[in-house]
Amino acid sequence: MSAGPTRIAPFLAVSVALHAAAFAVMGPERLSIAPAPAGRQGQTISVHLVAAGRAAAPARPEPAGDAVPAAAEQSEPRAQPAAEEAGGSAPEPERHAAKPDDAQTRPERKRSAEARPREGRPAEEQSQQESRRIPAGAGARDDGTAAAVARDSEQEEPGAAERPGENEIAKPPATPTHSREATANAATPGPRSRPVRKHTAPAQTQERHLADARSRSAQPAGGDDGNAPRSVSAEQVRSEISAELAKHFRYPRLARSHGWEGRVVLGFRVRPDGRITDIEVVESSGRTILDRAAVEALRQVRRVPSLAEHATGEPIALRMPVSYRLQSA
Amino acid sequence: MNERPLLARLTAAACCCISLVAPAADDTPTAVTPVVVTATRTAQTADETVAPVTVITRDDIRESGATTLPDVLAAQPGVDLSQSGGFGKNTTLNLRGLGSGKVLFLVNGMRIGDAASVDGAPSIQHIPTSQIERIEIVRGPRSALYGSEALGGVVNIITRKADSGRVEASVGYGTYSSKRADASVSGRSDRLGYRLGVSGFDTEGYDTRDDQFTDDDGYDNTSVSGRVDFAATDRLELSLDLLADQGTTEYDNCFDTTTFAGPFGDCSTDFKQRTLALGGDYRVTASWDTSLRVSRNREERRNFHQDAFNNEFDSSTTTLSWQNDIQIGTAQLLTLGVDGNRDAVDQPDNFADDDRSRTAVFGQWQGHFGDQDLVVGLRGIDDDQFGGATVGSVDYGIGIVDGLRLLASAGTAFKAPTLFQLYSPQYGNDRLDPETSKSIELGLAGDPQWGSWSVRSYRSRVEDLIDFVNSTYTNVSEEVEVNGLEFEANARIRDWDTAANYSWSEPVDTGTGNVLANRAERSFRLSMDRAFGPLRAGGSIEAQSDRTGGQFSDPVGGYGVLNLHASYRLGRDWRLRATMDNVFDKQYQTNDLYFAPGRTTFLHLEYSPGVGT
Repeated sequence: MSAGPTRIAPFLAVSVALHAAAFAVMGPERLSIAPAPAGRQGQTISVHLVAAGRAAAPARPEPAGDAVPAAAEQSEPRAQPAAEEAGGSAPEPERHAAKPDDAQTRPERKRSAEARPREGRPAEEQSQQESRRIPAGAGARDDGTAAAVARDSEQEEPGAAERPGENEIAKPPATPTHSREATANAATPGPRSRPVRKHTAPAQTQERHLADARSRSAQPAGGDDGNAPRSVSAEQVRSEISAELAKHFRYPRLARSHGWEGRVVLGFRVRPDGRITDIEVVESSGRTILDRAAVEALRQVRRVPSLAEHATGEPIALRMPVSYRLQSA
Repeated sequence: MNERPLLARLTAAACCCISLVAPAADDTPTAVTPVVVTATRTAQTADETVAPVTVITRDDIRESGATTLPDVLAAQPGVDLSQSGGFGKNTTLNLRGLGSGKVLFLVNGMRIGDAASVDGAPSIQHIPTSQIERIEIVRGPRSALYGSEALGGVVNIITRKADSGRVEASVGYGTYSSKRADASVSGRSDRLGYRLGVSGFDTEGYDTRDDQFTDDDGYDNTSVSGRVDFAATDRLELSLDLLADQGTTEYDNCFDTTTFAGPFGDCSTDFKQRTLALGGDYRVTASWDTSLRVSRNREERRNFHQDAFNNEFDSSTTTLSWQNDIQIGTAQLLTLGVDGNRDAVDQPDNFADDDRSRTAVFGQWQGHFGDQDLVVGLRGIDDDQFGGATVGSVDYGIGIVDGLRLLASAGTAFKAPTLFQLYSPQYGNDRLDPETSKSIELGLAGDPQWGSWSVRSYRSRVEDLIDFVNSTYTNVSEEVEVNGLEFEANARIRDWDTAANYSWSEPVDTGTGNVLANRAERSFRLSMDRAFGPLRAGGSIEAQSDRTGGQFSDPVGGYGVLNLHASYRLGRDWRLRATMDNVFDKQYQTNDLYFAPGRTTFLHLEYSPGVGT
């Protein structure tokens, strides 16, 4: 048995050397570290080499700050150019850039190709599917701890998201949303995004990303969409908030074992600096545990970092329904 | 005999996730995309995070093609089954080395039993698998909520519930001219849900006993189950559950209990089991749930030889329970309640005392704090014959490093002698004392990348264990000490859901130094399953060590069997299933002189619209 460590030592050394080399060549800024969402028992940390590396650097967007103001309506005019720019210029080099990493991404793409039939289904059903697939990878054995996945990540990056049986791939990073997106998009060759766009409400999903200047360079397929709607930014803000907040919600263990389900509607305000205040239960689920779990989850967030970067003006009052649902094993 | 590996359901049970549904058309302009938090259901009977619970789901049962309950329970962690032949023959379930009488059997959380049987245990071999939604096996004495008798553990059988509009049916045929058919219809509207299921099983069987009688010992079982639930208001739900079965099982070598003539070769038992439960669940406030349930379980057995009536055993168990769940914050739950229960023996009618009742108050507190979990339960019993007793249990779990948890627990249990043990005119002993036990347990559980595993060790000391010595029941003078070890692991290996468990249990009479009779000390089970598109295939290996002998039986050798199963989806609604148990036709016994079934092949055709499994 003691032979074990000695036997893997060379591999370890090679692995370390390769990583170091990759790090040196590509530069630290393209190496994103994506820890799984903090579970009770801690989780895997996976390291994603950003495939888009070289091309991404020139196209690397400025901080998204001005592109996405917190108040949805305000952002519209500014978000649009961002989208066009992204679609127009960035994609080609992007795709090439993705090649060096092809070997690494190929299995993922194959998977996503297999998964494609799913994409024909209504979005809701798919997200169900996705959410069911996720546990095997990340949230597994987390009893009660939730793995959070924002809707956009589900629809946009089925390849990069968790797949059952590939435990080594951790969840999308909990905090740096942009690095996740960049990673996902970079690893997503252009052609693959197309089928995704076909299914329900895909345009919105795409554009939300486009509007997010941080991912524009990495979003090759977006440009030809041409219909970046006015409401994009509002929608984006909403889903970004949801996406950020969703990570913090867990199914309370006691509610699980008692089969308690329900829907809580939370009311809260997001201040210009991204802080969340005035959390209240607008509509009770009928169970204290679920109501409180929802409030506490939101309280833990305290701040929506992505909004903090660019929000201006008045606090915005928001309502967020949180549904707790149990499935049979 | 196979069953889908634990992995799928354990990983599923262990995790949950969040998804965001498609943007809802929420009318408020400031509405944020709804968040949906989903999770799989966890065991209801005990807290999985601290207590050892095995959950066997409907899919597991269906996948295995198991026709009888003992087939499903065989070689589960901590379980040692002894059966006098296959297909509906008498079955004893030892859980952590202690027999059926020291295991609490529940249907939907309500006690079932047979006060006219020797050990008070119900005839679990007749409970139809097609009517079962899930089975939860809890090892060790954690029974504050359900009853004090769980010296070995609890087996909770949860029957099928109402489902939105669905018709299901299946037919099957196999070895020993075995035939099986079942059908169910289920529906749900806003407030009302219902389900009605019927099933039938019939086999010519085989000659189960090693003796001069060589006729086949057949078995048939017809069952019905029903469920109605009605949401009277948003806060009040009423439900009715029925589970009933009846049939005949044949066996050899019986004696006439009045004339002592015999032995006879064509003996049979006509059995009937009924469990009816009525419940009301009311949400008093957002933090207080209350439920009131009444359940009645009746067991009847009429024994015949050469078609002549021999004797009859009828009994009933009635339970009334009022339970309150009080939520404290998000991580604590207090449960308080009272229950009462009455066992009555109707036949034979020559018992000096033929009923007994007891009442109890119980409470349990569950708390989850960071990486620590604590469950404390207490039950105070007042038995109308044996007076007061208090039992309790404490379970504690703590994460020591990432992915590794330490588990510790202790518990006590109390079981009054059965009416049969006390008052059977031939064998009874009315001076018996109740059996009591103290148990401790220590374990480690891990959830590495590849799956999950756990190791648990335990020690139980049973005082006044009741044994049958010199034609009567007596309390064993010295303690019986049970030491045991259980190892479980689940993993997904190259798309194969794999589960393995190894159990060791040694119940020793400290007075004599002997292991209790008819126990297999070690058992092992490995199962692997995989889906290949529309095909699902898998298998299991079950093995048990030698079985101890006793006053009335010789030791029997250990065994190992291989079971295989596969199913193929035909279109959307149909599935063809084939199972082969004991592939190598191993001849073995789990009770001295009684053979387990040989190679058994079964073919099923199932109609189950919309279930894509």
